[in-house]
Amino acid sequence: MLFNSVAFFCFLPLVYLTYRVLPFRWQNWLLLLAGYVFYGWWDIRFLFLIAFSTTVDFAIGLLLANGRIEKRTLRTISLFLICAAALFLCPDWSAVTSRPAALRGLLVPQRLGLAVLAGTVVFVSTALLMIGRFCARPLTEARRRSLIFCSVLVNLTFLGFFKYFNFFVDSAASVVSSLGVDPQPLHLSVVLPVGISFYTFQSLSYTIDVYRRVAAPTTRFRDFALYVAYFPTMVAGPIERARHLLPQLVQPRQIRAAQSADGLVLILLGLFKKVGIADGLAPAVNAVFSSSGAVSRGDIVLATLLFAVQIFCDFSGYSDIARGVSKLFGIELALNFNLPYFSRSPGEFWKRWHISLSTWLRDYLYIPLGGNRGGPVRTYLNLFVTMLLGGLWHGAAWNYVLWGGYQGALLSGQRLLTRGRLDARASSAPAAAQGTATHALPGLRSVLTTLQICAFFTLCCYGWLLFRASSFAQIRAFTAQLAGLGPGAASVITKPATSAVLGIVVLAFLQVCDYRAERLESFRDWRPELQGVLYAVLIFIFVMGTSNAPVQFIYFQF
Amino acid sequence: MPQSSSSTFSSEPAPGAGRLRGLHGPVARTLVWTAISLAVIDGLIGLAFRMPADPRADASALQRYFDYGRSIEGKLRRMVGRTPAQDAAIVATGWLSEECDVDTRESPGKLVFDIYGMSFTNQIAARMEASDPRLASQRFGGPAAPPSHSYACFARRVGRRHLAPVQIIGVLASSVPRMQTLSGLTTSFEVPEPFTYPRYSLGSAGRLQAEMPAITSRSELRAALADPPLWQAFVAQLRHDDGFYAEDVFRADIFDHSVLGRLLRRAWGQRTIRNRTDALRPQQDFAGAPDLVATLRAMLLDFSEQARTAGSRPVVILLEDRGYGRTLAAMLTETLRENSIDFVATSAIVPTSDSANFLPDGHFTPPANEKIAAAVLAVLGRR
Repeated sequence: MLFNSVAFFCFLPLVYLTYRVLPFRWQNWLLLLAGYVFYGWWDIRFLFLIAFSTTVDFAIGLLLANGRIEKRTLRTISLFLICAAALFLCPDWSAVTSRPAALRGLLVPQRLGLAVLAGTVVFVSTALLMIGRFCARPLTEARRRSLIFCSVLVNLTFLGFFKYFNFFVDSAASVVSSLGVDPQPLHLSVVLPVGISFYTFQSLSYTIDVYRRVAAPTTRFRDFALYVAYFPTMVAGPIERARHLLPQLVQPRQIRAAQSADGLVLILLGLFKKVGIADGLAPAVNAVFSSSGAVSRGDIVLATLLFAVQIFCDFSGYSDIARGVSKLFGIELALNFNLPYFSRSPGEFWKRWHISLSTWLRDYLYIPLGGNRGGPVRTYLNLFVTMLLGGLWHGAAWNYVLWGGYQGALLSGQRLLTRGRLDARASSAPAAAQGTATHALPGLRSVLTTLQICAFFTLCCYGWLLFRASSFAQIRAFTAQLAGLGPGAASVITKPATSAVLGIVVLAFLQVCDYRAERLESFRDWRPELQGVLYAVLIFIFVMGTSNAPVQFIYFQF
Repeated sequence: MPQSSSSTFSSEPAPGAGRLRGLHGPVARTLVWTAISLAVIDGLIGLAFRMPADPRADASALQRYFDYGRSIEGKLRRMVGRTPAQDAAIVATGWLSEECDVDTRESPGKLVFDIYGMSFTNQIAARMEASDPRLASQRFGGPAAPPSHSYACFARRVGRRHLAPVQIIGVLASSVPRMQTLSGLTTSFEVPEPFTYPRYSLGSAGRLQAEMPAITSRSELRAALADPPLWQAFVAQLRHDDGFYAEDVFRADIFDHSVLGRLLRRAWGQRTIRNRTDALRPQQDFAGAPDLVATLRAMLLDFSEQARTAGSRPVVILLEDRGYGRTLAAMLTETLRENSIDFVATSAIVPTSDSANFLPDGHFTPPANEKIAAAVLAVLGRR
């Protein structure tokens, strides 16, 4: 279900009103059910994958903390997983929702469905046996390590199979064929489940935190299942941490009027960004990046700039709606974007862009790799590897890897260039030095900051070109054209939608206000009359955008 | 232990405060100002970008933009004047009775070809004439006309005294779904095209049968708009037989008087048409509409048979526009080859994957038209 779909506009009020009348213990059940309906709307079979991650990580969390699981809990999660596997007997969700006649299909077992069900029963039986033996012996550090290894293995195997199997097989095949050997094709028709990267990382962070003893395991399966399948975050983040989200799920919530008002404003802002701007820019960007012929330099520059705006509005719009919807239920989500295009350096950019992913990569990849503890060269290498894998997380294609490598190179380069300054600062009085510079020439500082922002934005945009490009050949051709080495070409870019043009002006104004006020949504401090005018403008541009051809949220594919 | 939901909305009335503030506080004031501002924006834009009173006058891009969502009926009543001279230009185009009941013009010393279709075929014909001065074309069509319109036009002409030695029919991929309609009103709701045409289907014996529209000429349309029972009869026919008719997009109502209402209706209308088109082509082909494909095949076969009987040479151009890949080529190539019908598939010449082949309005670029024209000329020169 898409946040900007008619279905969601019916779904949300229904869930919200029911939520408001239910007592707390039923509210979590409702949110869990809502999560499964929300996700199963794409394809009911995808629920099995979530159920599998949920069950395995819940069980491992308990084993990591206590070394045992109660029999009743074991029965519950075993039954849950087997029931989830039974969903595979259903041909597809649309058969349930739109074609009643096709409901007959539910009664005809599919071969794949039966295989999944049988496999799950075998898996559950084996797991029960192994858990029984595991619980009979004391919990040592070595056994804890083997448990966390299991969790990482299961989660990454799922992610790897559904997202990267064809990518690696195809890449290997092309390497082999370049050596003159004709490989047998092994391309599987695997559908990429929506948002698998997001909920896998969220679930994985729980077991790792429990392993590190920085988070306590939850003992109620319902709460953990809700943590994984909380519908505002499950398909495109923010990637929540157990330490932040779980405590809010297990305690009764107070919904304050101000929080609900904030939520509604965020939903409006998100819809304005997504529907009014991002969807209105998509055709112009696609016209350039889907062209297989020569493209002019002006088109490349303009399309890349527009894509920078599109991806920001698309993804931060999703995050805004997710945070807004969650506030309606009295649950606060992590901030995911903080004026990223005002960054002056790569390091600052990654503290402002997709914050929940960059902090995840820092905590669960960069630091375990050694972080900055092994000297400069090792630090650069760790940064590079982290960003390379971060790029691959975005999608199974080499241009994402290249984009990750580019970001890694920028971060390493920044660190290399500022190393001397950091060392100097560490050995002197930093506050005094900074204060002197700021007060001496505030005008010059502001100009310098603006120049830094523009310079980094240019670098950032080249990264977006790598990210959006459809092939290496296109990256080469576009880069050559930007360098003035390409052939002349006619313009192919189309005019962006009116809503997007108006929306960009309004958004730029709001972002500058936020930057100057050093506070997000600073318009909330305006007088109610002015806020009312602003909201009317946002609603109007959103409504204008509703006739833009809807485009799926870009980050859904990740 | 069950705990009750402790959710609260803290909006206690402040003693002595004004009614607005006392009852609802800043949130309500913001809401009221939002509503007032929306009404003001709606009114101001409605005034600033009102469509010209004279339907013949050119409207600006923004005037058209804010009017796209007006109901089809609302737009139709505006564009049709009291007399033909007062009609908007689009009202005059595409009527079979006015466009097709004519002989091919005599052009001594030239090879004349008749071409049926829409703006795409007109542009190709113009390129063909420009590249070979020995050629002359007579073009028949309507804006985004579907194959049923082209076929009906050809069928009206085939019995006439003089028919050109080459008969070319252009099938535009995005117009194929319109074979389920009776006029250009329902699918092009943003800029409705009033011309009508039959809707064809295959009868039990596999023969083409036509459902004729209740209105077949501009004068009949004018009369119907002035005569409620006649108009209701036409609307009832569309409701029953036009696959793209949608009541909430067609009928004039209160939404026509508000810019926001029109914008919302535009989005709804696009969604309706998109859903219906997607239902026809679930896998980017027309697999969802086997009847439609069979009817199109039968139309093209009948076209070629009748053209040959009349002593003309039939040629088909499969025009794949943006987003259609090689839908038509995959669907019709085999049929055309089996029946030795000459054809040109544009997907092989100007792939839809290359946006450099298309203008922003969706038409082929001049170089693309030139390539297609050259391919058609090559087919014509083959025999």
